[in-house]
Amino acid sequence: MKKLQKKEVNKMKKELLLATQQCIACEFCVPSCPLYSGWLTDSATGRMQSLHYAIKQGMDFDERLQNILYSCTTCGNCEYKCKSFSQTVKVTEIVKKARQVFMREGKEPIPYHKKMLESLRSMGNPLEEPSDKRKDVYPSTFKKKEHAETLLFFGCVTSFQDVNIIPSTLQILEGAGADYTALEAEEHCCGLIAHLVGAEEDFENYRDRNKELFLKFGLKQLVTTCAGCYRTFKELYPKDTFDGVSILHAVQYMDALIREGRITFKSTPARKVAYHDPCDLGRHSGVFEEPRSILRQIPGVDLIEFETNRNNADCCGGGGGFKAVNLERSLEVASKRVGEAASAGAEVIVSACPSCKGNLQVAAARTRKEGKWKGRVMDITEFVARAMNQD
Amino acid sequence: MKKGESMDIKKLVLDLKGILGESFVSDDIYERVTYAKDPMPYDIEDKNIPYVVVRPGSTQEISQVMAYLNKKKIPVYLHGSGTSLGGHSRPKMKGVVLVTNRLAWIDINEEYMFVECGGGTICADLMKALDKKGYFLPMNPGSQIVATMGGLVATNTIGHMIDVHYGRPSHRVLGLEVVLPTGEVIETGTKSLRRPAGIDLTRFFAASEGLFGIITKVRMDLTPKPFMKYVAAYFKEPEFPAYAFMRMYREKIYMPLYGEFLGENSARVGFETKGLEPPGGCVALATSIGRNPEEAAANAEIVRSIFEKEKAFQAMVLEPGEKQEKIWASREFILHTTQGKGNFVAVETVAAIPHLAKLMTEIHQVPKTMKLLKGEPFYTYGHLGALSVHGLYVIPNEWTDGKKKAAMLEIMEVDKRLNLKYEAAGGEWGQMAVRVPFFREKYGEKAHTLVKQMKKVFDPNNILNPGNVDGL
Repeated sequence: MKKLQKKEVNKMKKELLLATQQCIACEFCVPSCPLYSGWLTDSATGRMQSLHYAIKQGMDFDERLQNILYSCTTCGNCEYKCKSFSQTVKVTEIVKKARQVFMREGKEPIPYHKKMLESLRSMGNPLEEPSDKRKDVYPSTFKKKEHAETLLFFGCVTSFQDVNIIPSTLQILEGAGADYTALEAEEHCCGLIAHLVGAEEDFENYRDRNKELFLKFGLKQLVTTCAGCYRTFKELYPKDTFDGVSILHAVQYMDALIREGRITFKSTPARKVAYHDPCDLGRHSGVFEEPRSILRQIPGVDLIEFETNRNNADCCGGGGGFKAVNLERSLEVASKRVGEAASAGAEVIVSACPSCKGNLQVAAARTRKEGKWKGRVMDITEFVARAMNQD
Repeated sequence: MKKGESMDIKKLVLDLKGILGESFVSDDIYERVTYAKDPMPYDIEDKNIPYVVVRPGSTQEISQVMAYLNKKKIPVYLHGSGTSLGGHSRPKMKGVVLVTNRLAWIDINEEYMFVECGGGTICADLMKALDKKGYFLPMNPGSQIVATMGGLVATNTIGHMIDVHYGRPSHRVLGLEVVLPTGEVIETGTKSLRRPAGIDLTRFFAASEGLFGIITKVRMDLTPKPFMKYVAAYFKEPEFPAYAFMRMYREKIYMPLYGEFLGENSARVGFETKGLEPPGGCVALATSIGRNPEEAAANAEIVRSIFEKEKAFQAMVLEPGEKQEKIWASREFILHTTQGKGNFVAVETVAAIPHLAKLMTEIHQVPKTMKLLKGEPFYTYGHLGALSVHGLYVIPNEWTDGKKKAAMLEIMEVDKRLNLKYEAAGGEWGQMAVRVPFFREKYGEKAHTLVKQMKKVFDPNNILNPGNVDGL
């Protein structure tokens, strides 16, 4: 490691030592961790105490510590509990900074993260997909404009792993008569995954690329359907990145369009609907009421709340790069969430994040196979588009 | 294990794996370090770090583990959820940490009118299960979201509640299943709601602070949920609410179930956190109860009028809704006062009724007399209706462990002095570990020796939580 970098890493470690000191091991956060297995290292308490001990004792950031710190969905539920009942430990910031130390020390990343970062650097997305493939799910009627008031940003998961969100969103905006455009093949990653796994230089690179790309559209607002991209643009990019441009999640935009009377509904695709709060949109960004307001406006919808909702909402298990660390565990967490919806009598789980949708969908398929639930999982854009058109 | 004898840790781990299986035994350094740390404000030392952590899944497994460790004379420290603010859960010497969290189950028996649960059941889970059936748990610790029933019963705590209504776990528990340090299993008490007269071993364990045995099963009577009505009052001086609660006892009113207090600083933090205008003084909150809504409301009005008589500049019975929830919830945000700058340490001071107002005066003056903590942030809150008030100090993160430990001792000295002066003995966090000096001074050396002798009866090899009876 270069001298300068070593100095920087030492400084980061000192800051982490002080920050982790704030955790008193009261364990109030423990039951809220979606990955808690009964062992404390599978909880925020364990992550904070392990990191603190390793730094204090001058221990090597080894594979075991890496596993502890990367086995975190960064959902922030622990942090909310800590803030509410205990010491206000900034758990997610600490975890992300510790991951940066791993990267800066040149430690071998988790294998799947390594692949994602390589793909990010060479293909503009972490999913090893060619950029042109982003076009595949756009309807043939879509015509990209050079300038528009609203620029849509769908994100990598939506573009490559979902076939409904893009056409549904375009259909809603067409129906509302909005002046919009989207990036199609020109879109590339927001950089969140790099930030989450500790590759800060890659993250900064994508931030700069996106700034340049977006501003050429002369846009007034940037709208994204992805909770992770939303939080990235709104909170993780410096505040002045998009001066004068409003950054909205699709639920905020749709809610405004409904209030303006530009979106109207015919009937609901399902009656009993449970809304799952994505961590990046809900707990991390404070957007709770708009999606609920949208669903309540749809005639016939009986909105069901999960037992844990809003700030207390359980995670789907897919965030923080954890899905790439342990897919099976990630799906177990999602299955628990699906089980909660099933117990509450939901026919459909609606979310506002393609990653949550993807994870919950796989878990729902398993739950259906076991004969425990007959419902399905939809993104809110799909649900709204269907409600606008369904007789 | 004899002094000077070396430990074959590999064999210990292998033997324990032989009893519990691979998945429930960990000698991972990070696991061991995390289970060693407790809320004491200073870091752990090597002597605190256990050789191994085990998570047995049944009474039988605990019995086997204890029999094995007793034979080898290896110390074992219990870990329910490690929330003790009295230093109970930090191991005092090398040994094994035994975690009870797999003993989490609840069985509500409405025919017998009791509930049974495993010692590792989380308090909030039990509260929720009882609530669904119209009952409630007559205890309310601040740590309820994670504290285990075994730990709470062993501490004999009811948290914030006022004692006069439902008593303490030692009054409420019908019976226990306990694994003795030797590995033998005993049942205490009864399945009837009529508790035994005379000697009942339940009471030895339901306040034992983990010195005598491991509580693996708790049986408590079912308590119907009372109707509740909330009262809030704001005062200019902290003595005023104290006079109000003293008056409530003297006027023989039906005491509220809760009588909470927030000092002016704490109230400001709590109210602001909940988006409320700070009250401009200190706050008293009370929850009156009744067998029906009318009775609860009538009792609340009596409490409100007493607050008013004792110089509250605002006293109100709260109607259900957002305001009530926010005001009441402001109490939960007391630890926000640390503002991410340090670890909190609180004193737990209680007064006999005649001294409550004097305690309030003195506790607010204490910071000025402190050597190390003078000038550091200080907040007060507590359960005035239960005659209890906490002084909360924030120990800066930057301080060395030595300075933190010295500050902790200074705080405990205040705890000791005030409890002695005002003829009380705390009431929430236990009497051993960090409070041993207080216990010795309050009750004398003979009493302390008796406790040690009692421990020896149950634990002849002194393997269960050794050191907790000796102090930190």
